[in-house]
Formats: sequence, C-alpha cells, structure tokens
Amino acid sequence: MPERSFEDHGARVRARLGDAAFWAAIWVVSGLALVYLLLPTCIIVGASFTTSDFVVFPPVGLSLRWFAKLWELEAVRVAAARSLGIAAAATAVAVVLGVAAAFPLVRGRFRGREALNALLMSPLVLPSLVYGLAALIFVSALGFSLSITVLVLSHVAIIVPYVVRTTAASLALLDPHLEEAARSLGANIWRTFVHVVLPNLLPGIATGGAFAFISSFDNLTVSLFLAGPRVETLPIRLFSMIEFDLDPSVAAISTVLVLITLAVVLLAHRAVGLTRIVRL
Amino acid sequence: MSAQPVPDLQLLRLSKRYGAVLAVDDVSLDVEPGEFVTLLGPSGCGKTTLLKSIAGFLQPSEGSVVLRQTVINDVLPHLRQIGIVFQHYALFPHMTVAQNIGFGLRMRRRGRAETDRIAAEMLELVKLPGMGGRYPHQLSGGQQQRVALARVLAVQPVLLLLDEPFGALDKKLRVEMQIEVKQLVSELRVTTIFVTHDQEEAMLMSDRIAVMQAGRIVQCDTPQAIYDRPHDLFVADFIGASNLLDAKVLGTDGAAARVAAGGTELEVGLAGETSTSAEGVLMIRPENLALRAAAERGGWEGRVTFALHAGPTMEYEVAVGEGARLRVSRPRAGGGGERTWRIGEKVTVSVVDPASCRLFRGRWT
Repeated sequence: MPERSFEDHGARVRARLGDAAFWAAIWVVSGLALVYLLLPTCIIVGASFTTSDFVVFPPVGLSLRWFAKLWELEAVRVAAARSLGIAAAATAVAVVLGVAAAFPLVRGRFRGREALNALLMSPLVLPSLVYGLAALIFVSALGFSLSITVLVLSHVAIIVPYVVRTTAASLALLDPHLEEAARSLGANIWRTFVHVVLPNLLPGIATGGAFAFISSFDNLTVSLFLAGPRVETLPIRLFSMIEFDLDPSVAAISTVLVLITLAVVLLAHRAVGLTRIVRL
Repeated sequence: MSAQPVPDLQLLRLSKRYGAVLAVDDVSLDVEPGEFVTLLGPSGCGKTTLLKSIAGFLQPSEGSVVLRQTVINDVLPHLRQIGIVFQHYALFPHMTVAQNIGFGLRMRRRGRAETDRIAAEMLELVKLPGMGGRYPHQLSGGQQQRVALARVLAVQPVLLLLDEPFGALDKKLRVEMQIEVKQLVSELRVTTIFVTHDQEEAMLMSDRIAVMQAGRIVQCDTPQAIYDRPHDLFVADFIGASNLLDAKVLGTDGAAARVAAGGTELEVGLAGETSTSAEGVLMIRPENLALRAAAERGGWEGRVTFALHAGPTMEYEVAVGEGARLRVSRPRAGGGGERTWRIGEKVTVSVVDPASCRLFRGRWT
C-alpha cells in the first residue's frame, strides 16, 4: 500500500506551518542583519546634525553648524580634495590594469591560471596592515621617497582586484562568438576590442571601478604607512580629529563620506543600468 | 584542358591535432561556386573544428585551406571575406539591428550613406523592413536569425559558413527558416558551408552532404545518393531510419546477392561498401517494408508491438523471429488506402523493393 500523505489532514497542516516558519525565520534573521549593518551608520549620520558641542545620539536639536564648521576647516577641505584626487587617479590606473588582467584570466589557456587568479585576489585577502608595511619597506628599499605618486600606486595595488573580479565576471558571461563574428565581419583585433568587447564589459568595469574608488577614498591603513608627513588624506585627517578633539564635526565628516560613497555607487549603478537597457 | 569550374573553396588534406587527438583527420573537399555543402555528423566528429579552420579561428596542423585559388592558412580571419552565422546568432547586444548589419561595412570604412542604404536593403531582403531601430533582445529567435544573416550578407562574403544556425529554434520555425535561408542563398548564389548534426536538416537543404565520423569525411554525395546508397554501416545508421539486420550471404551474382536474415531469404542489390564475406548487415528502410495479413506467405511473420500515428504515416514496430524488431513506415490509410494495423495483430512483413536494400560489411548485434 503506497503512502498517501496528501490524504492526511494533520500532515497537511503541519507542512503548511513548517513552510510559514521557514519564511518567518528568513525574514527575521535577514532583518537583524540589515539593522546590524545600517544602525551604526545611521547613528553617526544622525549625530552630525546635533546643536550640542559633543557627539550625542539622538541629536540635540537640528542644525548644520558642524557642516559649516567643517567647511571652515581648511585642512579638511584640502584633505578631502586630495583624497578625491588620489582615488580618481588610482581608479583610472586600476581600471586599465584590471581590465587587461581579466583577459588572460578568463580567455587564456595556460597552466597555473587558477593560481594566478588567486594571486591577483591576494590584496583582498592579505591584511591591509601587512600590505602597508610591506609596501613601505619595498618603496624605501627601491630608494623612492614618499610622495603622492607612491601613495596612488600603493592604492592601485589594493584596489585592482575589484576591477579584475567584476570585469572577469562580465567577460566570462560574454559570448566568445561575438568576437569571432566581429572578426569575420572584417574587424581587426583592436577594433573588435573597442567596438564589441569593451562596450559589453562596461557594466562590470563600472561596478569594479566604483568599488575601487570607494576603497581608495576611505583607505586608512595603507595611507598611514605611505602618505608621509605632508600628504594628509581625508581618512587620516578624520583619524587624527577623533584622536585629539572628538567634536560633532567628526560625525559631519562621516556623513559627508557616506554621501560621497552613495553618490559613487549610484553613479556606477546608473552607468550599469543605462548599459543594461541594451543588453540581452 | 578540361572546362571544369574552379572550386571556390578547397580543403587539401587538412588535419587538426590536439595533442594525441586528431580532431580533423586528412580531410579533402572541393566546393564549387554557388554550391551548398553540408558537414554532417554527430557531436565530436570534427565538423566544428573544420569550420573554425576555414574561418581562420584555428590553425590547421597539416594541409591547406584554399579560397579561390589562394592558400589562406596564414591569413587572419578579418581579411578572409568569409561570413559566419552562429547557432546563437552572436548579434552585438549593444547595437541596433541597423548598426549590427552595418558593422561589416563600417569596418571596411564605407560611407555612412552607403552603409545605411545597404542596411535598409538587407532588412528588406530578410523580410524585416523598418526594424533597423530595434535592439537584438527585442526580436524573436527567428528575427535574430534573419538579422544575423543580413549582417553577414551585407559584406558580400566570398563564402558563407552556417554553424548549426537553426539549433535554437523550435521545430516549426526551424523548417520555415531552413526553406527561407536555402531560397535566399540559392538566389544570391552564395557558396555555403553548413554545419549540422541534424540529418533531416542536411537532407532538406544541401546540394551535397559530407558525412563526418571521427574527424574524417566518410561519404560526400547528394542527399538522395547518401540516403539510397549509404557508403557504410555508419552512414546507413546515421542518415534516416533504417532496419539493420545481421545477414548470411548465400551467394552473389554481379549486382545482386541472395541473403538470409531473420529467418527469411531475399535477393538484394549491391552498392557501396558491400560485404564480401559470408556475413554482413542488411539495411532496409522502414518505408521499403509492407504489412499483410498473417496468412499470406513470403516474408517475416510477426506480431505488431506498436503502432503510432505520425501524421502522414503510420509507424509500426513488428516483432519477428529471434527477438528481432522491424520498423515499418506506411502512408496513412486515406479513402480506399491500405488498412491500418493494431497492436497485437499477427502480420507478414515483406520487402517492397529488394533492389534498394543494402548489404554492409560488419556485424550489427
């Protein structure tokens, strides 16, 4: 006699309860994760609007006085502009290197490809403190003095993996027949890359570039080692402000940082979104 | 000197080796101008490797590819003037239909006005007028197929390669596209090489079919010749449906042989790779068998084990002596036609035309 679970009323009710319990558990746990991720940021952003002379949450009153004070601090303005410049330069270099590196990783057929893949990801795995120290020793062993160029190049090394990863993912999804079609239609290898491959990799490159920009922009550990005394980045400025006078302008800087990050992500998303319209 | 036309494409003793594996094994083939030749074979037979060697994406290990009397082994793909239509069309997703079709012309640095004019003409040709502004993802599979064809034809290739282009279409659309593509390329007289594993498709479209197995061309002939006179057991089994029976050769007489198979003797025609030994495999096409009531003599006696309505025909399977089963295909009984048979009925199976049975070397079971 075969089992006929669909005839048993009790089993049917228990099964429904089981399904409901599963979804309840998923929603509760993912909700907790979301709160845990966002709450600290919300608190610091909230605190930046306080009228009080010290960091407090919930904020006392509502004002932009700490943002105004921030604007008056020339050191902060200079550091912010410098950080944006460094992040832009480092991202530009990282995109060129990362896109090029993604090709052999995806299309290449050689021994040790997997190992190379892991190696290129290593700055993401390596503690950035270790990388900062290593880079400092490396630079001084080569006899270079610390400069903005050295700082940009050290940032490049830690942000390239983001570009490689996302570009490689886009490239792996790209039908190799597109390139063959372009070649058979008379495009040489360079024009195939510019007219067919690159446009289809843009979403991946934009996403990787956004991650790269943000990681450079708010990098502290590597900058601490390689910035040198006169090259102060925004995270370093923020760090010393927290150390010496913890007033709500620190919270205001944090808010500005969050806004810049959001802006970069939205920009990248927009670029991806625009490209996605014309994708399959 | 002979007035033979000069072949558009010649493959001369072409081989492609991957380590110890011979993907293409000493293949030679001449394709005449305007001819439609199909490379047909199961997956892994080397047909795609051969296609890629012709297109220039693979370098042959030995032999040469000759296009209009020029050896093109070391010519890069973009200089070969060979167009390809891929199975999944490979339309550029970031370009409109018109930009896709104009791509080859832009790469040849033709003027904008000329490019636009040809793109419009091509859309007209593939029956998609006014669709130039759409993006590929807004088109159906059949429409994408047409755009892929238009894109290739826009540059007037010397040779057209079709790499399983109908594989992604559903059955009805596939047959429509097959006929349409065939009409188009014969009108334009484009020399075409078509790669497929679908023998029906190959039969329908080709001037000649090159049946491939394990990197070699086993037989290259017209569809009809390949169907009627397969060269060996592999081709007989691969092309069309056939009944293959182990047979004893009782005696041969020039163009005919007397054989015994499944407990019945019959006289069959000899052609192709005929068995010269005392044993062989007898091939009988299902439509070359007929069913009669069991009482009549002369043929295999058996019982119908299934009967299927396949539209225009009835497909039967009949269990005959020694566990053998015969497939029989009969036109459906129309007004006054032959009767249909039901499962379980006792029947006599007889051969309609013994001369079109074939005898091959080897053993089947």
